[in-house]
Amino acid sequence: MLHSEAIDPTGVEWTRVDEKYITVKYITGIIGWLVTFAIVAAPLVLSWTGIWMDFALWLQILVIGGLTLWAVVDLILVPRRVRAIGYHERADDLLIRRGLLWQRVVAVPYGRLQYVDIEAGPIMRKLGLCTVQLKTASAATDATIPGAVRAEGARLRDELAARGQARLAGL
Amino acid sequence: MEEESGKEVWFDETWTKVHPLSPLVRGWVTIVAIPAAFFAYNWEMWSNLWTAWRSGELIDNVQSNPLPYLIGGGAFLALALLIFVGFTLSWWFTRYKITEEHVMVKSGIFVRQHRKARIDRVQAVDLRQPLLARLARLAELRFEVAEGDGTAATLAFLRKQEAEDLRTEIMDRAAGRAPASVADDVPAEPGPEDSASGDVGNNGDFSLISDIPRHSVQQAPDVSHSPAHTPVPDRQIARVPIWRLIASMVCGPGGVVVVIAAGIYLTYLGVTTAIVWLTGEEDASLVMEVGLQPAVGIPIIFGAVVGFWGQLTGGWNFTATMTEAGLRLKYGLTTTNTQTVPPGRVQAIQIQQGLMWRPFGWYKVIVTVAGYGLDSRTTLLPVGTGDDVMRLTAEMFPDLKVQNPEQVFMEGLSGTGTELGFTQVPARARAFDPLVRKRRGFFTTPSAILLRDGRMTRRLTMVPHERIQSTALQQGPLARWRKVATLHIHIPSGPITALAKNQDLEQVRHLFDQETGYAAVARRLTDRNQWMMPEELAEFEKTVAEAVEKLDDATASPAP
Repeated sequence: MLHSEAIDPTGVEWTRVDEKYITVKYITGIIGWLVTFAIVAAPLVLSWTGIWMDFALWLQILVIGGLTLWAVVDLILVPRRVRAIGYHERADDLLIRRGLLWQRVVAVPYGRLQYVDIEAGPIMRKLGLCTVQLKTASAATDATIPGAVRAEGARLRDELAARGQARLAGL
Repeated sequence: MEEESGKEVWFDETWTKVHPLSPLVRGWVTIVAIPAAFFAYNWEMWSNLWTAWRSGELIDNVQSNPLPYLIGGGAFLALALLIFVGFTLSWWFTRYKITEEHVMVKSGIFVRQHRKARIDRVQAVDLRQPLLARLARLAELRFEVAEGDGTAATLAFLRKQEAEDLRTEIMDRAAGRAPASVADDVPAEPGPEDSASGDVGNNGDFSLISDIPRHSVQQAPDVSHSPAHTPVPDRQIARVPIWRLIASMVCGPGGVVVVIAAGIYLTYLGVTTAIVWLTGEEDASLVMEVGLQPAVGIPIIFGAVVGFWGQLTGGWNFTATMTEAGLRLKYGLTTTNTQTVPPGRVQAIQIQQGLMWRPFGWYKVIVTVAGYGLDSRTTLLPVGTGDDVMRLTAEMFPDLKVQNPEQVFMEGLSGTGTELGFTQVPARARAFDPLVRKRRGFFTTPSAILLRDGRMTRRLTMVPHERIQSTALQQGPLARWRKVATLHIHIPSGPITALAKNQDLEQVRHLFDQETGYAAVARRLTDRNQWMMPEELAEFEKTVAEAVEKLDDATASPAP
């Protein structure tokens, strides 16, 4: 289980999302970094082939080195970041936490739920995962549980919908 | 409903047309602008024609070679006809219908639009009268609904009296007032529909117009004469004198910007003039001439005028009156607006005071009402005195449920430090908020949370616990090091963001627990759609109790 962070409410045992979500984050993370590198490399390649302007060597090393370092650190942190995602159903609300450096704990009262969405991209579908999204009348709520097993996602949706109905308050 | 069944729907008799002058009132700019542009563009030609007409040459010309004149005149007539047909069609295809549950509006010739607003979800009803509509005694009705984005349904235009009656009726029904009218509605409802169908079948278009008043005359008295209804006299809450509005604009943010811009401009001119005068340098005189070009000053002046105009029309003749349906705001210079904000629909309220307003003791009050979004209608009071603000909040905001509400209120508006129990950013986090440290804090009462912020422009935000949608606690690495955290209070989107930044970790964690707890309880007690209906509350409580029981049974047996 997660160890408790400073902003976590006391006495809350977080339910972690599925470990397979780490794979999803690796795949999307690597694709994202490849795109970034491709964009950054374009002017460099142009300058090496002499078509476009010259860049100083130190600048090239700085940019490539910096980006590589950033990418490596980012990818290394993926498992820890995924393990930092957690949720917990309380009597009147659902708590969701996320984040390693920038942490966030949100409490969504069941009575405020307008609808619960379940979505899954191609990679998530392949691994049998889904993202549960909670919507209230406030756009700032931003409460999502990414990487839940599909069965758990369905259970959560039904459970939340039932509790939401019971405590339905709207605005 | 019927609208799915086919094309005939657009000519269904149960739908009422808007006033035939509506397209004219809405599109008068086009009517004026096109010929005006036409004239302006071909000015020389027109003046030539005029001199030709005066000298009698024109008639000779037309007689000898009429073709170009016929084409020109024909084109002009065709254009006028096109506009006329367009307007007529747009009027013909715009219809509305009010059933017991919905306000429905259909419009559009090619791209058809059908808007449907649930009456019990109506947040506010606004009456708007643009300049031309005012002359024609017409008004536009806008219904704001909780779900969906922006204005849900607009009825433009109706006769002013009809619009007012309809507003009263809809507001009453939205508030769930006069439960006796439920029984009255059943016989009353077919009434207007029957008469409408009879009229449309037999008569021409204009008889339809006379339907609308009949419709509201039939329904409105049912509501106001019902036994459950005891009229309460309207009370004026606040008035903004024009001198105060103008003075507040001069001292406001816009005024400050203008003064700074003018200052920069004048300094620039002064410096360049001085340089030219002292050195006789040619380059400098060139720079000065650039500065003197009107092109430099015009955008600044234009921006200032637009900004000031918005403030001026938004506050002109501003009155706030408490009526049975809610707070009625009336304002406007060319366009007269009448909007009604029911207290039960206010999600959050914020009182602001700019630096330059402080000596005069003026405040601005804004609210978040679902559906209003960010537009100017969120202003409850453009500029008012402390007393105005007190009265307004007393009407529009639930009782703070503390012994010294006025003191707490004043402390929130202008106080600093930890007096009365307000919090502040702890000294160890001084580096994050060096200026506003002592103003940035919160205070909780049994009914609401008060958040204060801002040193130059003071802000006090108040959110009733039962209006909070969700709460979030956030902390970055630096904040963790200084043992502080930020609490976000999520409310529907509007001009107000409610957050307590960089507060002491223990205090803010306690607040988080408290807020989530409060919200759960308060929600069950006070949240209703038709907030004035006692049955609604009883019913709501009953279903909640039942559901909770069921749920507890269900969760007790199979442990998750």
